[in-house]
Amino acid sequence: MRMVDPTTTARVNLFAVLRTLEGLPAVDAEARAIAADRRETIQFVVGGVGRARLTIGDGAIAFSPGGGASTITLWFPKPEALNAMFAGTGNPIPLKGLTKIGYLKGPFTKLTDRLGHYLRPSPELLADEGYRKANAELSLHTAFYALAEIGNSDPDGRLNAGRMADGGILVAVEGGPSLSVVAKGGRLETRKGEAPENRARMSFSGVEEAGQLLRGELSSYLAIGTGKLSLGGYTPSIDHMNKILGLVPRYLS
Amino acid sequence: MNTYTYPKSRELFARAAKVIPGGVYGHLGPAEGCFMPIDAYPLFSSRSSGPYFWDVDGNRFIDYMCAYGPNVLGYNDPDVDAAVMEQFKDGNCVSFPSPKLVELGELMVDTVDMADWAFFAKNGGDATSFSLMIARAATGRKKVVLTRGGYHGVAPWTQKAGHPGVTPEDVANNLYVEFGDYEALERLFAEQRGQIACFMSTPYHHPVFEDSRLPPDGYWKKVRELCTREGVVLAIDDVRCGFRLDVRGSDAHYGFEADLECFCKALANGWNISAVCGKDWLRDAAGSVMYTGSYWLSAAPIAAALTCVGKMREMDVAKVCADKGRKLTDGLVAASRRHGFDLRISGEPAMWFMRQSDDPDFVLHQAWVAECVRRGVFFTNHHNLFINAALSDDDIAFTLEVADEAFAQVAKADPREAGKRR
Repeated sequence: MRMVDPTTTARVNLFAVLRTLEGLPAVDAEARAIAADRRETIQFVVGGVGRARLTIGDGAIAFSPGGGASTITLWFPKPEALNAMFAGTGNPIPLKGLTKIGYLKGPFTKLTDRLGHYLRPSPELLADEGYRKANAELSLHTAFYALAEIGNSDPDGRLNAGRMADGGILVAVEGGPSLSVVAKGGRLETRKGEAPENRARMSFSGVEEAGQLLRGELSSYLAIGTGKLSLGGYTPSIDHMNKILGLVPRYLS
Repeated sequence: MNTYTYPKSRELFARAAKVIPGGVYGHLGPAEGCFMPIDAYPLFSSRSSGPYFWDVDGNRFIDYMCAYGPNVLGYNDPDVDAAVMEQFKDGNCVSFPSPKLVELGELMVDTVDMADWAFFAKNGGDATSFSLMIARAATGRKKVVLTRGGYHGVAPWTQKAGHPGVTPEDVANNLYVEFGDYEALERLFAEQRGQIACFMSTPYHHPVFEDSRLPPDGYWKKVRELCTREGVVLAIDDVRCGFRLDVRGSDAHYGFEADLECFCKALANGWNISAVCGKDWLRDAAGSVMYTGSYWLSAAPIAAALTCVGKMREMDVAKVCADKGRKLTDGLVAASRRHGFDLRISGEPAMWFMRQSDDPDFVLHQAWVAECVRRGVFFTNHHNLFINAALSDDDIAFTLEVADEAFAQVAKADPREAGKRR
């Protein structure tokens, strides 16, 4: 069977994992402190993939796809270079902000470490209720941001995305966050909250259940059978989307 | 009218989940079965009889899924089951087949119009995969043309590229056309001349989630001529429709003759057997393909099929089911209109598909079906339904009463939406 391809991996790293940093200050005190400190905008330029910016400051982290003004610009000549940085085996080439290497190695690295802390659970960490909740919420965002990238880039993902009818699927957690995966012309976009295009819904009965499913502790079929995950509306699109969701662990593991 | 709850089903599902992937997998399970919302549905049955099953909580349902087709005479048909019990006394799975194998072959050839021979297996998927192998053996070609949205089982070649467990190579020889589009089929045959072994299709189009589509006038006659002209084997997947539309085969029902025809479902009223019937020119090819299974020639299901086919012929089961289907669906449509809804029926009356109009995301239909299930009428949301011969006028009347109350409940639960439809 097909393994991961580097371009899709880079898209997932750039547009899903980095984007998830947005949610970090809400769950992590260290991230809040860093975000409350000096303001920086880091632009990532990845050959064959695209650009994205992270603005850190004013107590928040904001992700924006595409290029623009920045205080630091990092260049990755090809997808594999970005993937190497995420794997801890490579470094970016700074194009702008050469004097701010300290920020990258200090506060920014700390932020990514904190995100890694929440996205890589261990049994000990999961014993803490607050950690479990943070893990579930951040994992949910990473997984569904990644899903759109995989649907738009991975060969199997594209096949399944192409089968999805135009319209959105609400992915909601009772008492927790919600996202919408919107399909148009076979391309996917994940947005926060409800989308007017939504035609179907996939609802978790709680954050705990969402976390269990995303961590692989609960199978989706079992979750449906026990009501921990309920589906409704235009279900053919959910079926196709779930085929893409099944590819997500390949890219995030 | 009381509504059902399912505590024992839930308990059993929790036990199942520990030892069986997904708890209940496949089309009988809550995920593939599209049980939405899940709390409206039972998950396990305890017994069945005629048109009914009872769940493990003791709730009775009129079953319009008929085990997804096999129940054609009524569950536990006394004649079919007696033949099976009698056969059990003589033996079932033995090192040699019973004479009943020959009797069933003769009966199939006598019953199915196109049949010069018959071959037996277990599931519908065995029959469709075997048919494709026969076509390839006979023609020396690799490709198969299928209709988009058609269902021919779960073997890798029947699934979609990009689905779990399916490699690109599994489906590399598949070509697709829209059902009923003769011109597209003709173009595809011309583009792929000399490479297509088989055109496989259901006799009419009965996909999930969409309206069923009957063949356009003259479609099958032209397809028959095209396949003959191009040397392509015309294989009809009659697994779902077989005997319910016509005991002579659904190709006879629509006025043409297939080269291969696959049967299962109604063949033995729930006993496990399937069949491929074929034309003489494919007999040697069929014999040349190595295709068998441990239980394929077991005598008890063969005895069931002998009795079931005999009864279906005698009572003209297709007419019985079609008449009941018309009566039921007319009543369902009338019930919907009384409450300002517009239930749309498509397909053949014995195995109709239904949905609500002005409901593109199925929200209304899922709500109505759930209310029916809670009151003892088992429909599923997005699959065609089935009629069986044991369904009585009283059962139909009860179903219509339930449907009426379910529509009233849906209208009440969302009066704004219901008002829009008035």
